Amino acid sequence: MNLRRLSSSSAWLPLVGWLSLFALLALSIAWSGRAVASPIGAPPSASASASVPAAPPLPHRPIVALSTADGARGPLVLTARDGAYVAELTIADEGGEPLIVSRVAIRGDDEDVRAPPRLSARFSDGSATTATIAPATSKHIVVTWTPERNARTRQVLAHVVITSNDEQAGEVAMGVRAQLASVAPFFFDHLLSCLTFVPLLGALFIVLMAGFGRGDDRSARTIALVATALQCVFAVWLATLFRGDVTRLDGNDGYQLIEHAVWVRSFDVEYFVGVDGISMPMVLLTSLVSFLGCVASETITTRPRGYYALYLLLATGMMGVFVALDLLLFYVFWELVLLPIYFLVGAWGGARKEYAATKFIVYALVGSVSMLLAFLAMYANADRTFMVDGTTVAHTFSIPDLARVSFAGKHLTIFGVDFAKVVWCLLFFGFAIKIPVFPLHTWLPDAQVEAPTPISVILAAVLLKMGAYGILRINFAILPDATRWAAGAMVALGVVNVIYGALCAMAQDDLKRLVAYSCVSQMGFCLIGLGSLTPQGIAACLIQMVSHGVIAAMLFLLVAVIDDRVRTRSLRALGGLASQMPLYAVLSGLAFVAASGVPGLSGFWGEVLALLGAFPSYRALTTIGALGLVLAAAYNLGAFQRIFLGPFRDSWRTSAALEPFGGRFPDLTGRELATVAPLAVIAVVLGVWPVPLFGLIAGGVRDVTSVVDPAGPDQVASLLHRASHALALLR
Amino acid sequence: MPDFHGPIQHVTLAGTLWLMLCCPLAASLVCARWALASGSGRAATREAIAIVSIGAMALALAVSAYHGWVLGSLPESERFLLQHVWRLVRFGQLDASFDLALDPLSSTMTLVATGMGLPIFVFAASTMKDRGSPAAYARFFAWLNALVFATLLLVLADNFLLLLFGWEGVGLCSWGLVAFAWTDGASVSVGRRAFVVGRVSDALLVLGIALFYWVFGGGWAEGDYVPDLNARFSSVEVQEPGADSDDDAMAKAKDATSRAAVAEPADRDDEDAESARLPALKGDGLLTLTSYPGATVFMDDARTPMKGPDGQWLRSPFARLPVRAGYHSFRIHAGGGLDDFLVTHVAFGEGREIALSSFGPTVTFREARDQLALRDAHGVATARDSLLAKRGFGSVGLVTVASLLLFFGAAGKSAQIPLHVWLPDTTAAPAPASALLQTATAAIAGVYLVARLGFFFALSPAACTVVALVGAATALSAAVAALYQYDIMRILAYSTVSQLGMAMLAVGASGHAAGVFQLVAQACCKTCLILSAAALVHALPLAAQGEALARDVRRMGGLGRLLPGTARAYAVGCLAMTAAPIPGLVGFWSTNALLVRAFSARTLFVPGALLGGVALVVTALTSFYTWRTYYLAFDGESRGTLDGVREAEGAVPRVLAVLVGLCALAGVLGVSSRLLGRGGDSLLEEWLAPSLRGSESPSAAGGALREWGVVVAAYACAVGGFLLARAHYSGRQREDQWEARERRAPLFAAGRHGFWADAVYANALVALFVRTRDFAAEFDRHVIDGIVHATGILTRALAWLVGRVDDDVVDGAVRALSHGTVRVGERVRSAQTGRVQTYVYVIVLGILALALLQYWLR
Repeated sequence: MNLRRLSSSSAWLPLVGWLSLFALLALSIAWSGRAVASPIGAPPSASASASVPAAPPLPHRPIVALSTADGARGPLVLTARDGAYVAELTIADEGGEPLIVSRVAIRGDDEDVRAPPRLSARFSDGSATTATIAPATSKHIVVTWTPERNARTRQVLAHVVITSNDEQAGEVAMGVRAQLASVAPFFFDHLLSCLTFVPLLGALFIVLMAGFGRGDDRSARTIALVATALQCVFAVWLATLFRGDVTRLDGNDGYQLIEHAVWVRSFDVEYFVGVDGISMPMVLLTSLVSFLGCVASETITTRPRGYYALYLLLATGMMGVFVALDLLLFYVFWELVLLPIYFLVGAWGGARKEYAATKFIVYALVGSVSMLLAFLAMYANADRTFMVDGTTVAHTFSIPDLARVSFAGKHLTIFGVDFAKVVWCLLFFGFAIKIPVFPLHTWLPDAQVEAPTPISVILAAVLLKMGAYGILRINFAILPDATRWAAGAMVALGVVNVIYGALCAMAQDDLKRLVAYSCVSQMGFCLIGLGSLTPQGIAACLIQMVSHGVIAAMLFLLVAVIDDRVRTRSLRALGGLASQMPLYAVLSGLAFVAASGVPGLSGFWGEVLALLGAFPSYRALTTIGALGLVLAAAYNLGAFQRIFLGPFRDSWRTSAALEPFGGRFPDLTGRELATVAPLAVIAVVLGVWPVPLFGLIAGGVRDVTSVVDPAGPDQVASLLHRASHALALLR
Repeated sequence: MPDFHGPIQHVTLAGTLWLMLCCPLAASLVCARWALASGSGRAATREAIAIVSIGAMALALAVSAYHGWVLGSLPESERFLLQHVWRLVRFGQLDASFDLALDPLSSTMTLVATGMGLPIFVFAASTMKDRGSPAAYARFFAWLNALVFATLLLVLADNFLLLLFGWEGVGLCSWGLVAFAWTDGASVSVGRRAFVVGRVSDALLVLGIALFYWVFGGGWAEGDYVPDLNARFSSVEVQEPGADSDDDAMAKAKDATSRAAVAEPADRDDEDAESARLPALKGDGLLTLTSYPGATVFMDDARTPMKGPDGQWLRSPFARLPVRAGYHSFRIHAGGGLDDFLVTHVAFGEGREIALSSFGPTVTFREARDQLALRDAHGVATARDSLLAKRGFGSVGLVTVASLLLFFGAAGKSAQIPLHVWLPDTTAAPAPASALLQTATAAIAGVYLVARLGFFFALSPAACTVVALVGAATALSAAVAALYQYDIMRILAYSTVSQLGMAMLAVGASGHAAGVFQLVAQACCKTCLILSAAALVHALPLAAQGEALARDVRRMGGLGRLLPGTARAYAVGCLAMTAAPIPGLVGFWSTNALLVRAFSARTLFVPGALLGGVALVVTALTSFYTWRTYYLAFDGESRGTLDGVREAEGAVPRVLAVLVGLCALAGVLGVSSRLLGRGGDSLLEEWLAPSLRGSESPSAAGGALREWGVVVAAYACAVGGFLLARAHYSGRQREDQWEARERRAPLFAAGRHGFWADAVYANALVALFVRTRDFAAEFDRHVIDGIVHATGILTRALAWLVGRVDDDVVDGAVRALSHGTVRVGERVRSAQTGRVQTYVYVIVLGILALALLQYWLR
């Protein structure tokens, strides 16, 4: 596509329209998947047996059929009744032989917790979990959930599994769903969807208004601001509903605020979203950065309607990546992020925008392909499981279900190499491009430099985190053995990133490029933390993701300030600005100091905990990585010093760039301060009082650690226990 | 039953420690606000800034003195104030809170920081008035206050992570102060160097902390670290410190454990028999919990938490809560995603104090020290033994590795070789800031840390040896460098490095009290010297032309007549610093204490005599270079025009008088406590003893003879240095060519250039980094992007090739095929002649051919 033509014409409108329509289509399929489930998805027999008089002769075998009370197929929704949540499930025999039910149980056990506690299923006639059902009759199974007064989980998503002598059907299941009553049921039940799709709605609104010839540039900006602000509000609301200490032992695989429905039945794809301790901080960060980026977009004056429409599309995509729990859904959102960025950089970028945009999209698509291959490979080798409504499927894209598949136990190989390792590498390659990991990083400086400021902010604050998040969510959860195998490599790559990125940053003259390379360096700490496999390291990765998101966003916003004033980012051209713009100097000083990981600011926790976590296993590598602390101080302080300290050049006073400002550098405007100040406050607060953030991630970190590094027998035994074991042996 | 017994640190809870931090922090923020608001017409006057800053510092001094007094009024074993402010991190086994702790050691340090801070602030308020705008004045005090805040945080920190806050805060403030004249490119780059050197030490310290943390729990199995996944709790029967060295106490402990062993749950088969066999428990026991601040405690499986005396739910930390006699079990809910901890079958009885103590990895100094001192039921110090058994990096003890990492981290702050370069650079800062950095804040942090970790260093003689050696090398080389400097501030800065080296030497020789004493002494005399030198420089007319010119001792001379007060203060400072045998003066006592420790040191392979000898030489050199400065500046003939040189008025002489008084009075700390009817140690040593418990290694028995010998030797060295300096530099005997003579002196070039440390850094390390950096950037631009571009070009080439293949080969093949078919068809058509004979011939020939084929193939 010829981008120059694109940027110079108004060809963007239909394009945005098509993209939005595509998204809308996807959404409508998702919604229809739920609504349609009853008439189309229901087995014909359930309703047919009742209404058709001339039934064909029954086959001489038992046929098990499950249905909900209203004849729909599921999931069975439990309703509140005297403090308990109850619903009845009908089990019928549609064959010609008696159906012998040998077991009715809630799926999962103590070893493999799936459902929250205090959920039970039994026959309504009070019998045990076994029963015999005569042909053409049915029985009822009562499913009850009695949550504790202060229940840790507010919802139940489970399956009732029935084993019978219907050998063709095998084990069948019925999905069960319950939700604690809340003040606003609709929003509570669909909060994550609202959060994700509010910006998309805004984008549609902008496109429709443009299509009908109504609305102007300002209204587009207003819509975008409202949509992203709403997303922020929803995210904060979400955070208040979210419990950080919930782990997978509390059921629902440790996820909260789940929405789960069948999306594309023919490909076993589900609309499955939910948050846990790993995604929650990312959701908050994404919504905040989306909003601040939107505020900072005021400087975009060319074709703002197209810009905001694409921006909102991007916001939806980013949020979707962090909440999706179905691999195909994840992939859809992932791709939904790439396209808007391509156009935003390619059409609204700087001098070499086409080069940067092409480089970005080629890298991104190569990564996507590799990722998709891995997804399909895992899908194809997944075990038989149930969809949310109880349908039995042979394969699945669902992350929690895939996490239970023992790929190692299947002894699969790809070209003679262990299946899990190959898939792990494919996934890692896809995510590593996003992080970005040396040597796949060169798209980043180019994209950052050429992108308009808000997109630079988003690239640094959110897009890079998608890579690390993907590794945690998919590589760690689904392929723990391969993760252990590759842990050392991750730490080594992280160290290379830290040192190499810092060295490159030191050599830059363009301030934006410098910050971009510092991103490469900082994300290295995420990799070090990930590779350590210790709780400290994994927590460090999450903390670093949030903190670097905040700090990098702040840095790019601050770089834009000087760029907007005098159209230069060259360190050589600047100097002594502290006397001209004291407030700007103070905030920039804070940002640079925070980026170099000084305690009291949020950057400290990620770096120190990553080193602390990785040290016991990777002493030499970590020692080299610690050099990153020194280099970070050198380049950050160096940049600060070259911009703000030293003598001020009087030649600026007469320069044409400052003419509109009367020959002096004006300090931060209110809008600039409004974008930077919240980030600065967060950086300081998380620096001295990180408990809120640690509280959010505690459960998630525990889960991830227990998967990739399950406790050995020695690890929980104390000195004392060890001693008593020894004593017991002596006796 | 208590699982362990030993001397747990008794903690007294305090609620007011935060005030000490609050004062300088608030003042710093207020000043920073004023500095920013200077342009907007809301600027404060210099007086207001001075009042706020000095007031805050005086308040901080008062709070710190009050807490020192509170500490002193407690029984010796309970001298540990603790305040939990808020939680920082808690997950896995990592637990660190914003906890402030004050024990005698940190109390001494807070007193030094605030006690030296106050006169320096007063001095600064008066001398900085005529330099720069009110905004700069406000900025200066903002940084000074921040520096004091960071230092107080550093010494009050109860754990390593909080210590890092203060540690790096100090580094940041030294950057701000050294680069105070920020429009001057040179001072800015010097400031950055100070910060980056500081970061080197920070990085080493972080690694040291990591190893310190992990080495306390888990273990390395086949190279992989196997961590404990959860922290662990045990009950500990608290004993008085020093009790377990006592045989009686051991016997008593064994008795206690054997009694308690009866309560072993495995033995309990019959309740009645059980109660008959159990010792009767009467009276209330005491329960203490200081780990995991904020944790809630449940007793005896109750579903509601225990209540404290105030009716509130009981949250850690608490101390000495009465618990009724009997056997109790406790559940501790720590939060932060951790499982609850269970401690069962804890026996409480009359006068028994039980502490629920956490084990395993920790970053809290107090918990680490407690763990190491605990012994289990068999009298074995389990934690200590397992710690010592851990090895890595070949077969080096991990304790040694951790200690060395921590030491090199500390060395950066306390300006030990080779990380000392930042300290002479601080002379670029205004003199009061330089004084504060050198004497009361940044530079003392390293020695403080090693003293604080004395209990850990004591486990590794090798690390102690390295500490002592590095200290000795620093002391000696910096003393030589100080001999040949001409800038009076640089002389004093090198002298600071040298004295810090001496303190490190003492600490390495496990004379922690002597090392701390050296710090205190150094703070008193060096502040006095730097401030009087600053007053001197300030008074000179040359100062108007440039600070550097005015500081040159070669341009001074004869100032004693014009500035008698300053000269006297400087002389007292000199006397106090050298080991002049005047009883009140602090240097005499500190040097003697240090020398005695050095001579009796028992390190791995370095004889104590060597360390002592070095210390003696340094004493002589110190005496020589201090008096050299004195004589060059104040004695002899005056040079240049000295019109208008006169004593400063107002606050400056008073500050100097106070400092002189401090120099004189601080010597009291060295007086033997025998005068007060206690043991034989000096007062300071006596005071610090509770903090340094577990860190003293046995030293060679000194004996009075050796002590007196050391005293006499130190005296001789000090007097010798003085006499030599007097002979060479005093007014009457100074040669005209003294500079030329100095140039011929041994080691002149090395000393003059500070052993070329700066040059080595600039030309080797920095150049290496610059080259690597440029290489990385070029590599990124050309190689990596080159590969990317080459891939792109190759792809396009391939696409072109495929296009050509598609056009020529594939399409060509298709074309060729169609042409060929047509042509073949034309040929074949000629075979269809329509004549039957031809067909028959063909058929016959075909059958024949087939038959032959059949025959051959058979």
